[in-house]
Amino acid sequence: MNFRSLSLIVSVAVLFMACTNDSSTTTPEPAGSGAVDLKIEALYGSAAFELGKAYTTAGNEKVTFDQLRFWVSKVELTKKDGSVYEVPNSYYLMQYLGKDEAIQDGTFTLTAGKREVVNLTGVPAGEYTGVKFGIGVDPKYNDNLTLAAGELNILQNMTNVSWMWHTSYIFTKLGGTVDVAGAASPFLLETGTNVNYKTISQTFATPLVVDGSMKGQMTLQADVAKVLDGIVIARDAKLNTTDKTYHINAGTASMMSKLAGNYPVSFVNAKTARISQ
Amino acid sequence: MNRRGIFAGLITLGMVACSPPDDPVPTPETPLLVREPANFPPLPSSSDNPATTAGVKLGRQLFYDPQLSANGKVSCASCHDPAKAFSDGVRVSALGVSGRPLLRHSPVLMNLAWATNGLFWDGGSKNLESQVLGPLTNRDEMGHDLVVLANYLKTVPAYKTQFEQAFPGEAIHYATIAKALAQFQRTLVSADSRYDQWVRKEGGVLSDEEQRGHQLYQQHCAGCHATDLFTDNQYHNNGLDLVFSDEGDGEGLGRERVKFDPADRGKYRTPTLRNVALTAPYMHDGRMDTLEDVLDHYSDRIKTSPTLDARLPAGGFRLATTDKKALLAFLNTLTDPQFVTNRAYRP
Repeated sequence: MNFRSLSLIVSVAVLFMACTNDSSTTTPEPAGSGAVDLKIEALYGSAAFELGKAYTTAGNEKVTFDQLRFWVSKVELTKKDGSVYEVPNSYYLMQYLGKDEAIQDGTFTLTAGKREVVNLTGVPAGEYTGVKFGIGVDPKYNDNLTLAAGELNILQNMTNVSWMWHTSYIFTKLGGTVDVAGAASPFLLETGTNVNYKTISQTFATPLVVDGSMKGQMTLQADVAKVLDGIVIARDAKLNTTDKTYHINAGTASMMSKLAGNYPVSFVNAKTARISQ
Repeated sequence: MNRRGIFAGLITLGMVACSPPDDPVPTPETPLLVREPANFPPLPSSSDNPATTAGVKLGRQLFYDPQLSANGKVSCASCHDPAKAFSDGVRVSALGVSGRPLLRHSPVLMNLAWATNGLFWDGGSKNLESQVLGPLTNRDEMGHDLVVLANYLKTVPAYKTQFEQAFPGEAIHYATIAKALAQFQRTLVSADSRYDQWVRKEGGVLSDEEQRGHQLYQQHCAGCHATDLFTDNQYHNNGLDLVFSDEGDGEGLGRERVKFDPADRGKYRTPTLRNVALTAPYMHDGRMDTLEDVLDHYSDRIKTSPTLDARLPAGGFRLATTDKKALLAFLNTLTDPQFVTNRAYRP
């Protein structure tokens, strides 16, 4: 066989492969790639964050929380050599939800529970020194509510009619009750809109090793007390006389920006570990 | 043939083999290009949601279907009537499922493929795909539940087929509903008025008075009602009020509600002047009943506030009666009979 016919055969083979829809086979992963958990533990001060527990804020308000929800977007892992691995389709809804929540007049229900771990798979082998991700949804996806990626979905009560006049997901939600003049009044503190998209960047004290033999684990802690830093709900949120709830949202833009700015500061103590698969 | 020649040939063959078949008969997947009139600015790309024959057809069906509302009585067309250039003829509509009047006037729908700087009167919505979710769910408009709506559409065989053709492999859900409605709306192009035929030298004639009106338009109006879209797609305070209220959800603040900047107080989106004779009443709250009222406003009733557009002189342009008459004559040349009777836009 001369070179010309060999190259012809190879080219034709390549041609057919190029047109093949190989969705039935999984993309081969490089040797040693593996699973990594991203865990975000909510704290209040130094103890674990709990729904339904009475706390006193730095602003000296007595509060009890019934929900904490936020989007984690565009997770990136930084390798020792400075290169970055961006986890594809990485949009996740993290939540602590105290009670089932009826969505859209009850047509479906968000189930109460805790979601604090994201399971990443197929992370390329290597030694990673840090993690970066967004709190909220990045402008490309936030500007078009019909673009699909990861867990993005407007039916999660993280977008609603009052937000749709201003295209944006609700990035974060913190809700509960606050004692005002002796009575427990509901509050709902929300962030959203592109200017309030924040990125968290954390460096690991010990690098995360991914080699396929064990599961990697990154644990970050988010201190909810810091989220409320400098905010006195009864003073800074707007009381809606219809739903009798104190709100921070797009209707209170400067407080919303302050609140959004508190989220990155609340993330501390990035740690790594290796656990058996 | 040398080796390079064989390779080049194969690469070409490869590209042909991977391309859709060259079929003159439109299929559901055939890309549907928005018409680009020669006198319009370049068409912005809409690569996130490219229109197809099937998508536009589905969007048109949805646009006229009252089952998209909670009570089965309100369609998009209830407030966007094609005969009125997709406006509704009333100051603020009370046709929504709640019967409560809306806070703002229904905008016209035309040349929306060029409207890439925000939608709604304050520009709060970033694109048609995201915008349609507002009226679909707003309690005073169509008030529907997006889950119930998708479940309903799945039970209608004709819709099931159409969604499969328009969005192969995707579910019937809010995103595909919104994408289809957006695709249809981007096809609504108005560019066949007598003015267009005159400016494109297609045999259209403008009288002396109409041409004088055109000159006055260029002098006083074209700053905001710019290009042959007759809008700059920007936001301006056009001197309607002395004070802009922040009551309620701040609808009265105009663009400030969206930009959070007091410099945007009282600014609203420039509406196109195309088909303006068919789209009374006027302004974001429909407060002016006739074009004569509008011309009187710009002539003599401009109210000064800190964010008043710099193009507007204090008080107004002080137009002579003959100037107003000429402007009115010119505005009437922007009526596009083909647009308001186009069968492709009807159910």
